[in-house]
Amino acid sequence: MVQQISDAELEIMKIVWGNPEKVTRFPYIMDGLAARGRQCQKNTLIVLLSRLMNKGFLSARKIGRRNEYTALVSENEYQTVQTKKFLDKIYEGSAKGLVSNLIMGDLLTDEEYGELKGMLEKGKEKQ
Amino acid sequence: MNAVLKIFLSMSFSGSLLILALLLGKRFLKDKISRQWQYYIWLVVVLRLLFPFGPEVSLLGKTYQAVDQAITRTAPLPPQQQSPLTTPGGNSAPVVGTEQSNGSMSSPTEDLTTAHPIQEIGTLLTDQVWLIWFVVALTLLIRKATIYQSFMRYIKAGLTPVSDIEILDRLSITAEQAGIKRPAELCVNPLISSPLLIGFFHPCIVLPNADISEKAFPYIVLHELIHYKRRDMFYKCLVQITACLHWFNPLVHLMSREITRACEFSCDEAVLAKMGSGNAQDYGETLLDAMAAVGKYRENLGSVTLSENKKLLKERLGAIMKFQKTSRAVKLLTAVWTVCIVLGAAFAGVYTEGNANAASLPSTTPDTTGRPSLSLDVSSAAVNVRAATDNQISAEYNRDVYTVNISQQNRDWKVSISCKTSMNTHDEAIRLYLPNVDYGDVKLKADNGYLTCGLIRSGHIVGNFNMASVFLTLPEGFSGSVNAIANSGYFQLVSRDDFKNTTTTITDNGDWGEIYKPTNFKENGNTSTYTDGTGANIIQVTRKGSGVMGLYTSDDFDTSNYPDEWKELWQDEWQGKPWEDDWWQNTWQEEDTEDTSSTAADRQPTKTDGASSDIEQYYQEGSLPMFQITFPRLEEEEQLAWLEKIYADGNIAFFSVGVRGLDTDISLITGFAEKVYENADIAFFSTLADCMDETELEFWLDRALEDGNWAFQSMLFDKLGKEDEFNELEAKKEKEWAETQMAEYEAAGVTMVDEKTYYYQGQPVNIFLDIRKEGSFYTLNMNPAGTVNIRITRGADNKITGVAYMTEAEVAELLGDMDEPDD
Repeated sequence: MVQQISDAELEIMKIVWGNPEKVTRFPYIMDGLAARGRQCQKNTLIVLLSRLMNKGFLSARKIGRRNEYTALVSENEYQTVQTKKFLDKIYEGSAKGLVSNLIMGDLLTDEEYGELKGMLEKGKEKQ
Repeated sequence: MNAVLKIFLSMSFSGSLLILALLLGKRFLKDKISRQWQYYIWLVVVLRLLFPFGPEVSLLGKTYQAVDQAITRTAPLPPQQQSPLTTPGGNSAPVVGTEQSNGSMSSPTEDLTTAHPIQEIGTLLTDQVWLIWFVVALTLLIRKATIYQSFMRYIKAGLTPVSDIEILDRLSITAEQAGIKRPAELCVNPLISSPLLIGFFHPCIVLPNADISEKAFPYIVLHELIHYKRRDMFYKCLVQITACLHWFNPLVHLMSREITRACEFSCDEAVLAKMGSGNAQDYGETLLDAMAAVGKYRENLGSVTLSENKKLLKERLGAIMKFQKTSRAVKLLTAVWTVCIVLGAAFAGVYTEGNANAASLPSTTPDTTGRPSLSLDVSSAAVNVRAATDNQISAEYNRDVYTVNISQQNRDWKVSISCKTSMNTHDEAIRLYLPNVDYGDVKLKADNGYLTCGLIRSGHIVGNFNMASVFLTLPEGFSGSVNAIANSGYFQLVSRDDFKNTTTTITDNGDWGEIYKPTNFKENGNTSTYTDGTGANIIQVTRKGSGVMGLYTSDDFDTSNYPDEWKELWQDEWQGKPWEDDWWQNTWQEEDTEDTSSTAADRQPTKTDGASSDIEQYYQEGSLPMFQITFPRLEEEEQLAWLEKIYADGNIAFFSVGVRGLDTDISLITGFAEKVYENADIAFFSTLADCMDETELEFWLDRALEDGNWAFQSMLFDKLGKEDEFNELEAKKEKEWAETQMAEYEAAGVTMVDEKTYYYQGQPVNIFLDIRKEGSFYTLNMNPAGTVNIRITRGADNKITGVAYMTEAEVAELLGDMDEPDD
């Protein structure tokens, strides 16, 4: 069960997910937040990180005086859960409604549309 | 377990002294001394209340010691005991005595006896009082814990973490300023009314709502952070536990309230010290704002809130406005105060067990002035002394057998008991009820009887026992003296507290017999001595004549666990003979029917082989008392054999003792009686008859009447209480006999005139002689006025054959016979 997280926490998760290395260190997150224009106090970040650990998004390994953080929930997983929630909430579980809304609302570019079409066909072949 | 409570009470007491000192000090120094100090000084008191450590010499230890002594001194003694202690010498003693006898003779003793059960309940309660304390303390602790838990659940239920990074940053900055390294969590809970801090290790500040003005935020957060920094939660927790454990002490509860106040005051002080006193007004406003939304839940337990209540807030505002940095003088004063309190706490100390042990005072011989004196005189009777439920001397006994005189005048109580009949069967013991009080002089006298007494716990006992079996038990805590002389018989003295605080001397001036005594008595010639403790209670016992004496400690007479240890203890004394179980147990319990705690089987005299070998010795040595004690313990067959042997020896005294020693079932006797009857041993038969019931006696009487056995008839009539009947019968028989006799004489030609003069053939008879067969019976009548001497002649069948004149030679022979004894 993936819990809800606040915007500030999502920012941090995005930095962790965006890190190509397997583990993320505290200064990396600090710098990432600063780069996104969301500078914060050290203690504030510590509090936010501990909240994420409590919610099961991160795990921390203490190496000396430094913490190494690892994401326990992947970006994909998070998106799927959030999308499903969004679907349930807005479209009452109907993906068709969502897609038709995307097309009708001109929210998709032609390229994106072509890509999606290709993905659908690949899915059919698999079945 | 009461010891723990004792220590707790003492801690509570010394803590209370400190609390009072601090509260008093606070009145004068409230605004001058640092609030911080006022807060933390309570910690000294709390530690004093919780931990029983202190230096060896402590004020409280001393007082407790004194109190303990007072208790031990007064408890066992009656109230009147106190006054003579202050009156010196013997001059004033009689005054005290008369005062009491004039005033109310029985009231002091009455108080004592009635106070006894109450005392017992009292001790029972005090024994269990720690349980009450413990249960209440535990209940309170559990209650506090559950309240705290439910409060935490309540807080956590509506808890949402503040996700606004801006606010979080402000918190972080304030925390850094306050010097708090550990990051604090910040949450919002709309259920609470004022900001508070939860969590012992991971601090979490909970705000009622997120939109707090930028100005107020740092104050609020700083206040809570300082609570966290100072670990006020732990302090509060400690105080709560203390209050639960000392629930009985209102001062501790007062202290708990005082600490809560001091906590907020000192926290305010710390906030202002951090922010600078110039910000006092802003801080005060913040407090007022927080106050505005007060009171949805009582949050002040287990958490540290910003505002407690209105009254406290007012004071806090006042204090905030007066805030000033402490001066040097105040700092010095504070230091002095601190030293005083800490030293006070240390030396107030606690009551420790070690002190209590040292407290036992040497007991002295009791002053018996004003106590009742008792004189008990037992003669040929079995007496069991028991405790009277009222304050009166009374006795239950068989009025046909015993005479009991009781005189209970003023403080001079006398009881004399004797036996109406010469033969006393001991199976009817007298129950003598004596008031269970402290006595003055006690005189015990027993002649040829049984006496058991375990009642006298205080007094000067003088005992004179002669051919008696006396079982004297000194109860625990006996104070007084014993001077007893046992002349033959059996005397047993049991000290329930093992001759504690006594100087005991045993003197053996007797011939045959033995003295059994504890092994730790020192023997020297014919005396043995033992001294313990103060040695104030003088016990002197002297053995005279032939008999057995035994002095025993309580261990030896504990029916539940006497076996192996005291078997060994007495082995040496037992002249190398194998130990006989129960022997002494039974001898001392024989008459003690009151002791129902032991089972019936225990009290039933068990008959052992040892008894039969002993009895031989006792019989040979002619020790009647020992024989008397041992005989009932023999098997029935043996008893019969012994009776036969004694009968053959013609020893009436032992026979009588033996017969009395038989069980009430007298089937044994019946067979035996036949033999005795046939031998016409009237003395022995009389002893047997003592044990017979009425029907049995009637049976023998009938038989005696049938046989014309006059002596037996007379004795049996006597036993049956029918002497009159016998006399009547006798007179009647005599008359009848005389009439038939006269008829016979008349047939032979002898007539009687005026009932005194015989006539034969018209002449008055001088000598009239009628000798019946075998000389068993004869009639001789002499009348100086007579002129002839006649003699009745009888045939082989004892019938009168005729009358003959006596010759001169015959007369001379007869008169010579009669004269002879005169020579």
